[in-house]
Amino acid sequence: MAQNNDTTWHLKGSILGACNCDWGCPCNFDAPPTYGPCHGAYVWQIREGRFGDVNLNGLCVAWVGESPGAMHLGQGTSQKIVDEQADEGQRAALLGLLSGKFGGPFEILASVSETELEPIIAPFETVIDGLSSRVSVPNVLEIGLASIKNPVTGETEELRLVKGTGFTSNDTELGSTSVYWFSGGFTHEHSGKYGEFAQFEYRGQKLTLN
Amino acid sequence: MSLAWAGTWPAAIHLGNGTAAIFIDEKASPEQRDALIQIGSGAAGGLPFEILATTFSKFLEPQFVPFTFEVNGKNSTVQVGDNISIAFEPVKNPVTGEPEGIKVIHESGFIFKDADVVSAKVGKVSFGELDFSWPDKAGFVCEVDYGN
Repeated sequence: MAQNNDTTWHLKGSILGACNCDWGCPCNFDAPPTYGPCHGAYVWQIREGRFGDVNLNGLCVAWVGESPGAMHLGQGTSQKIVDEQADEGQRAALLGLLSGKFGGPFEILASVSETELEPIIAPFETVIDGLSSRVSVPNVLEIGLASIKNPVTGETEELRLVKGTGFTSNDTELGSTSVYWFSGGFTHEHSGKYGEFAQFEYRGQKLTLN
Repeated sequence: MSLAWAGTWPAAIHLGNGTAAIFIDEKASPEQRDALIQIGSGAAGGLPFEILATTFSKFLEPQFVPFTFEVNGKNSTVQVGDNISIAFEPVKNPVTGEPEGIKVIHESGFIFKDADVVSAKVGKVSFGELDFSWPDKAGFVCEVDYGN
């Protein structure tokens, strides 16, 4: 399969995010991480996807990363997880996209990853349901999203971030996690901190707006 | 007419024990001053003042001062007497330097439902024990509609 930089690609689906910051995550507002370092993960469930003539419908990928400060300051370490259901061609396409050389948010994520660990190929189990979504890559990654509750009334908060200039999503439900841990080339355990859910659509070199 | 609040709390707002001051437009007539104090102190009921009032243990004497508003979206400024100075600018992407478009939609919010998130390059309060300055921290610009 030809993988050149003008390969046409299009992905559409759901994205889950989790990190070690307090609810809201300051990096949504270009402010430094709550506790200094940034530890986070994104999981994309591709509902409809195409890379050249390779169909990517129904596959999942994840990017887990950490850096000593705000992500854009660099010195990051990252590891990708690719759905083991992907056949050889699909796997090459997904790894190509995640490498960043075809643009999209993956290009930015790659630019902040000084150290890229060997990708993990593993099965994904997903339940996609807004801030009740869950993703499990057994023994590797667990993310369970949760809604933020008002600390006085206990009522569920309805919080959305609309950010036309965002690069992973443009209209995001802000929440928390019931569980977030990663156990790969490095480890994260940040259950109860920030979580988010959005629909995404990326295409070619450019992130389209929702 | 204009109304301002300034407050400080030792921890999260909902944990209480705050100190607040209320500032009323000096152009207000005696009746208007009384109305704005009743609204702003939470005495007349209605959000957000009714909730805010429950988080303070100390309420300073209302002040009557001039307000100078320059309402200009993400570049708005306001000066309240000699006591409060606020000046906004858009949040800028730290890599590209481009202004960001960031909006928070908080349907369950009691101060706003829909706000532009900006950087407060000036955020300063100076009134007795309320004496703080937090440049380049969070700012919000929104339209509101309150009643009891």
